[in-house]
Amino acid sequence: MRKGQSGVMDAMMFMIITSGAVGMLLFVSGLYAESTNQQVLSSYSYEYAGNALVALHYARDDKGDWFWRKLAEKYDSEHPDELEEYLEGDAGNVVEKVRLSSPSPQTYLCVLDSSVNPLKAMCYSMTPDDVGVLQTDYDNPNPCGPGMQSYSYAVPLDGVKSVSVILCY
Amino acid sequence: MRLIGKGFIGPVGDDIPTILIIVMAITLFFAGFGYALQLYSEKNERLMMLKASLDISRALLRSTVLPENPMDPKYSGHKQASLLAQSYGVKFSAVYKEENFDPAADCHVPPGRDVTVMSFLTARKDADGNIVLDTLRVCVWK
Repeated sequence: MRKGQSGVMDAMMFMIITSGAVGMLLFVSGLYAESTNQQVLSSYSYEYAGNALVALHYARDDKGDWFWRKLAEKYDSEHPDELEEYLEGDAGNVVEKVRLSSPSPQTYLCVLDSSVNPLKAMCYSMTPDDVGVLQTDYDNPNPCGPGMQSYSYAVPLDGVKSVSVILCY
Repeated sequence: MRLIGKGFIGPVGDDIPTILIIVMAITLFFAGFGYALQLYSEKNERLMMLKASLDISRALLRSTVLPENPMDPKYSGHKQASLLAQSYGVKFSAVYKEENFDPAADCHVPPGRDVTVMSFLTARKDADGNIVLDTLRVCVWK
């Protein structure tokens, strides 16, 4: 190789190495703060779920009854569809308020019952397309789909049951 | 002189292709470095705004039942939120609105500002003193 050609080859090598270094720098910059961002967003989700559950203690349904008390009643009723009918009917305004305020596109209100073995969970979806669909999962009381992150907060409904608000992303 | 006839341009001329490529490589490196710095400061800014929004929201939500006007200066949550906003160097506003929320119109955010909005379901007092459910929207901007 002549002197000029070897000089150009050296410069090309320098260019390739520099491009690699810049690529690595941009890749790392892209990753910066991703996990911290996620932590802040998850704190927000937990904060929302906790506040929602506290606020629901003050909620009244369309008939003026306390939502919390009626929720427990309907869950304990002999007819399994009563809870869903209540959440779609008299408590529709409460469900709507949760749906409109939630930052998550998929929000669930779940009742977990530890008085039965195995643990029983009934989750009511507030997603606009799925409103009214009741999911029951005896093994894993997490209604979020595979690959989705869930954030929830639970408060007791009575001695053996608790209610949780679950946000899915 | 005989060398000139054999394609020799000159001492610098011979090195021009090499110099060009090196200059391009250095320019590429510094451009990439500058872009990475810009990305870094944008992400830092975004992170700071998220943290500020969360802390200010927590301060406003300190009461189980919020007042009719969350921006009432007499409300202790508003006082704490104002101190936090000052420390972060941001401005904030909070309104109750369930649907058709627009930060510019509802929170009075000046146009062109990057605003972070957080929503929460809360219990609040209405004008008659009754407790109702509502959506609190907290807007934070610089």
